[in-house]
Amino acid sequence: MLLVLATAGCNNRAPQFAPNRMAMIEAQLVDEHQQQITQELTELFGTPDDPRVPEGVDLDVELLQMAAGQAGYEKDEYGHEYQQRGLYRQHCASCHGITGDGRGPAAAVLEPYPRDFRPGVFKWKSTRLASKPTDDDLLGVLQRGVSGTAMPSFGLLAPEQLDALVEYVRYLAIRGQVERELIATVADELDFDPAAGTTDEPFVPAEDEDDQAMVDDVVASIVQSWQSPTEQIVEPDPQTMPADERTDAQMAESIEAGRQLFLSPRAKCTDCHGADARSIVVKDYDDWNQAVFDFRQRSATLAAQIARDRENLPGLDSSLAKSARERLTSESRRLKQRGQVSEELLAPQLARPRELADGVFRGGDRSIDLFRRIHQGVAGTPMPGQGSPRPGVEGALSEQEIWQLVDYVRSFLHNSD
Amino acid sequence: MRMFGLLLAVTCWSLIATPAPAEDGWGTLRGKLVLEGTPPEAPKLDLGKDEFCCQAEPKDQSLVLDKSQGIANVVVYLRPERGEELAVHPDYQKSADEPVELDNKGCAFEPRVVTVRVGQPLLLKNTDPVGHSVKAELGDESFNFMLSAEGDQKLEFDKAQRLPRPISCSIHPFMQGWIVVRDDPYMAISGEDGTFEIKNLPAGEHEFQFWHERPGYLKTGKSSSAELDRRGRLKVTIKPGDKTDLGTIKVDSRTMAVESE
Repeated sequence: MLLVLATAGCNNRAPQFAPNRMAMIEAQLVDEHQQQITQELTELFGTPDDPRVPEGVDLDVELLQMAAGQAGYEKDEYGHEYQQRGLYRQHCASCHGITGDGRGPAAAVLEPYPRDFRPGVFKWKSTRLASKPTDDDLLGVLQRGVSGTAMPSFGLLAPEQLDALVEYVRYLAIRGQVERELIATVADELDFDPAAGTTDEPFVPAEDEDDQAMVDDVVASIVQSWQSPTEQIVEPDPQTMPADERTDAQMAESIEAGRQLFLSPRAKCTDCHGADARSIVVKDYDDWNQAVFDFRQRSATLAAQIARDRENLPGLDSSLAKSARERLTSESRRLKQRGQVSEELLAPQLARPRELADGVFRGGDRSIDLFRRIHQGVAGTPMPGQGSPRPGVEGALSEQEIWQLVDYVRSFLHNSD
Repeated sequence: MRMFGLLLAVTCWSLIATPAPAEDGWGTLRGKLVLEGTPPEAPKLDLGKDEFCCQAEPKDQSLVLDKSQGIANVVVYLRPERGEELAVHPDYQKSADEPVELDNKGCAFEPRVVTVRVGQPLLLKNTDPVGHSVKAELGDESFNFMLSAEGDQKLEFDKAQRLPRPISCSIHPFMQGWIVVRDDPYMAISGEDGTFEIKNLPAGEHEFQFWHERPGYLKTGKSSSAELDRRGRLKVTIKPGDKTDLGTIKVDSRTMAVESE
């Protein structure tokens, strides 16, 4: 065993980004299209050692290069050694994976699992639910860490190194989003025969104008989704914001109002977080785990269908039996492919609503952090927003009520000491 | 940045460009979807502990058949070619601003499938005496918010979705609906008896997409005059002033039971 590990460690081949096999198999893409998409992604984004930025995408290549590749050091003007390469691989990849798929070597033993950046969805941010995080949001997560999870604080890194990591996370997210969209586009628009595993319409953007137009459209739409997230920051109305200085009595009154709201059927908080803010009700998956759950469900349905078809085969007359056997062969091949992909995936974990009474808040514990969390909900999770879903309309709760909930929830902070 | 500029220019152009008139007139497409074979078993819903929902007792609606085995909630829509601009009949221009309603009623989405055009308001309502939340993953236009008892919320979408997208309630995970957002109005949902009709289509050859939540692309479907391909697509020539009837399209019950080709 040791020998095997040692050999693996000595493997000098440059690491590659792993293709999003789950999305590819789910879309029933044929091998040729899978390889062509992967090739196009290398064309657009380069490799883990040598990142590239597609035209029109707002990413700083110099920062990316600091994060990419293997750890490398240089001396500064005072003769101090500082890290100039490989920050992501040194600090992040063991959990988040080289590809940013949240499946690094350490991921399987963690709960919750490390974030998979590829869908481009982030939970801890100041912006509206569907908007991307700002650079400051991502920086804040790196500086703070995520309390109650395995994500530590990287606050001791130099500011420029943190900037490089933020840029690299955005790079992996944008790359992952482009990959998903290319898969969906090819699966929807190009012709292929999943039963035979062949296509007469290869995906070759370098040679085909229409294929290139598909790529340009996909990249442009992802670029647009990352355009100016700072304009999407949720800013509370100054009129209803609590005063900076409040007396103990005022504070107690607000906390009590928040507690009443928390318990009310109107806010529905207790349905998931429990009446004591501790006895949580686990119901559902977040979007990342749901996708894996759905993938496994569909595999199970397919397996059941194959078993039934096998059982029925002897009873069929010869004319029907031929096509039934062909179908069985192709379905069995698909099931085998799905099985191989399943092995790469992490068993889905149910989303655990926060046990608020512990006073540990993952996305930051400042009043404004919790205000935005309750106002917009948490992207990619079951947690809905209580505030207005878009500017200018009323939400289920008023901003004043949300501040009262914030005060109540923050009253548990002392429990975390 | 050049690419974004280009995108912006394209978007602005489509805003000022008036739809081309259909020189060749307008026609209708209709048909009826019917399940052939034994209907697959309906899964039971786990209604959790909500008192109101347990009393309302919503049933699984992932496959709704009438006595003739007509299949409800099949989505049929025109699938334009990349970059194709479709002429829009004046009747549809009138209905472009009419809100589409989606109610939370008896702990179920009513209707289960809604179609909405880009820019057309979607009125999300909750007529139940309990709070619901509504969640949909629509890329940049995703949402997930609380809908108070007897409350409502109006939304509009700027971007079409390639395929119908699921809509759910985090408080009541057994609730399931679907939302179809398209650039043009040429879409329909089959009714209780499995029939559908899309009126005032621009004459000419078009490709139509057939979709149902169980299999996704409706992989099988055959009538005396038409056969869906493996992605549930069919090319049809719409004749001016004419109703093209695809007849009874039979769907193999296997298709509705399992994700298979």
